[in-house]
Amino acid sequence: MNVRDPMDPMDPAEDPIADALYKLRPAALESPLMVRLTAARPRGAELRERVSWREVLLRWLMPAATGACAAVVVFAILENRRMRDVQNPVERRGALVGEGAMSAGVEAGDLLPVESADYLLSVRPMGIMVAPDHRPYRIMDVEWIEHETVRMCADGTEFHTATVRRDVIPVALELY
Amino acid sequence: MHHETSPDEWRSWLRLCGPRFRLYARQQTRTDQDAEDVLQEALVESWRREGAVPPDALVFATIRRRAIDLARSNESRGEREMVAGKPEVEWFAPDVEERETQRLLEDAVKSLQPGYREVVTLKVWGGLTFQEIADVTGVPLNTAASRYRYALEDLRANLKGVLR
Repeated sequence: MNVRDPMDPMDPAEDPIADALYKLRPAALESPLMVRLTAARPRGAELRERVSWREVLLRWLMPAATGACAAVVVFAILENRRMRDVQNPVERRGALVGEGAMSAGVEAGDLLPVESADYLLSVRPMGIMVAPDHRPYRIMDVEWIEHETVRMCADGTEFHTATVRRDVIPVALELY
Repeated sequence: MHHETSPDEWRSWLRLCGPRFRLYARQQTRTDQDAEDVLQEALVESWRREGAVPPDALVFATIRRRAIDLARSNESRGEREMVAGKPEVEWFAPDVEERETQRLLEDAVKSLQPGYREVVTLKVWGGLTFQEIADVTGVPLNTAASRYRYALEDLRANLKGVLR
């Protein structure tokens, strides 16, 4: 304790006041205080606090930060695509069809249905018949035209097809 | 690196360094009870922070900070009641041969300005260098050295004729 400090203006041994001060010894800790402080000894788990913070940092915060960064990147990409889609919707729709077809394992030369619609052309009654359950049915001849739009996977060229379809359907009659 | 504090290691450290830490804590607080509270918190905190035997300067700095926190806390909720009838803990170990001289010296130390007394305590009984004292107390190095010099001058004036 009595080590000479370069900044110390005088050697304690040469100064009676400093010498007297250095001879004074702080009072020892009383037994009750010693017992209390002994009981307060930091345990291993408490000492690991500082290390556990590092573990928390490595185990949770860094992965969370990485995940957050990845989420931001994905969001930026999606937002960028959305903006492009808004600016050029037709081109984007074609691209989406192509992407979906590729992911479904469709060959580039295949045709993909894009849109279909059925239009009723005519309904013609053909007659009335009685079913085995003794209920009357009117037989109708219904004619439809099916419009279908397909697109080539390779270059996005669209084709329109029109097919006539005829259905013969029984319509139950109610008797009053 | 930290390691498990063994009871013996902790007790030895308390026995060796506890008295000077307590002396400083007592000077930084209003009551012996406050000093003991601050001392316990500071010792445990310093050891936890260091993960092993902490440097003395760290412990003194922690005691100082804790004492300031406690004083602010006491101010905000009113003065803590003094424990009536309980004798004040002696600052220094009694010296049987020079009891009177010691008492005069102790009284002179207690009567020093707090800033001077703090530097003397850290220098003489804390064993810190002036640079460490400057770091602990937050004053420039030259100020710490000056306060020590002025403190000795004050003591010399107060104890004229007492010490040969």
